[in-house]
Amino acid sequence: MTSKQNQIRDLLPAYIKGELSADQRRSLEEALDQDPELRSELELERGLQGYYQELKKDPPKPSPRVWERIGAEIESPAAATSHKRQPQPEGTLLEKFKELWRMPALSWGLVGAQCLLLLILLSPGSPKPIGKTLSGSSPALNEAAQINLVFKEQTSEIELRELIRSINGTIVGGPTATGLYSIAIDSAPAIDQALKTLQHHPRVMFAELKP
Amino acid sequence: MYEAPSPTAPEELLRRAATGDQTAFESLYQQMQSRVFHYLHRLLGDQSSAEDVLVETFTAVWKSAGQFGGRSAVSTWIFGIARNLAYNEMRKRRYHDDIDDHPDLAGGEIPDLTSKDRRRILDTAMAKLAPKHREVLDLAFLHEMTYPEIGELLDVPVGTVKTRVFHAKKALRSALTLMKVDRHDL
Repeated sequence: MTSKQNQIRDLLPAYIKGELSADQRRSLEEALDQDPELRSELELERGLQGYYQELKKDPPKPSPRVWERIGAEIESPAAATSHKRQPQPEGTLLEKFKELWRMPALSWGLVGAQCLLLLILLSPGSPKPIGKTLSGSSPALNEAAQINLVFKEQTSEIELRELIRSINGTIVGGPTATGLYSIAIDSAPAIDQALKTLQHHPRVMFAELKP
Repeated sequence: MYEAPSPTAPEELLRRAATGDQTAFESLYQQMQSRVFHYLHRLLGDQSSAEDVLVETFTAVWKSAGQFGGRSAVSTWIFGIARNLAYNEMRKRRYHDDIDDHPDLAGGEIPDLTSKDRRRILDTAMAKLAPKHREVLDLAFLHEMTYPEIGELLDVPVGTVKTRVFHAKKALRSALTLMKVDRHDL
């Protein structure tokens, strides 16, 4: 194939798009008249351009779960160490809470407070517990709207409790052998928001309203 | 169609992601995910594998954001990561890398041409191509990359890109001929 033939061939895409100058178009059309092989290439080029235009109209889309999976990956310790953490300009309340939790002084402080609370609770004549626990089984809770929830394998106890607390939830069942929890939400209007929070959380594998 | 790109340039988003800015990283993902996913979907042929490799790709982008040297466009760099991971996946599945390895071509598969469905015909013919041929056509026609950009991504000279496009078209024509498709049906 001569370099002139190559040059002519290179003009085919622009010819189809109507982007050639008058001179270029004339010389290409002369070549097309004389060369059946080039005409065949033009047909193929047209076919390809039409085919790819069709593909662009209806591209496949990744599911929203992909971003959640990426989020879980980049939150992992291995990924986190490759970055120097800087304060985020914006973030959810949960992210801010997590940042606080990462502060060693606060973590140790909380551990100390928990030990102290445990001692008080276990001591004879201790007062009735104040505040609510994450687990419960009162009739009122059993009648409240509930969510079936499965956490990802690598979820720590702290993350699990933190998340359930953030949606004002109470564990009323589980975990089963497959890791399924039943979570009751105290206030019925909050159930949709709670469900949304859970479904978008990187540590949650599955969350849906209990039928 | 692909979503309109956000006003912040990918270079700036990647620079911020390298400092640990997850918001910038998410914006970069939103800008690039459609194109990269379409590329992976075409290479790997199924939703699930393409999603798996998309997760791996952007995890790698996050981890190595600080290593981006600026020698190419950020999009080319991300496509390069996606490509390496996709080819690893294909190697695991022992993909054939040569059109001659496809025995079904020898039988001259004849599709139902009554509908003259261009997309179905070309989908079938494309599936007969070697991955490297299908890929170079996708990059040129679907992702509208220039030959120098494709050369950068594939790490080959521009001349090789041109030759590969030429052979890809030739192989496509052969596949169509074996399918007894007339060029006017396109």
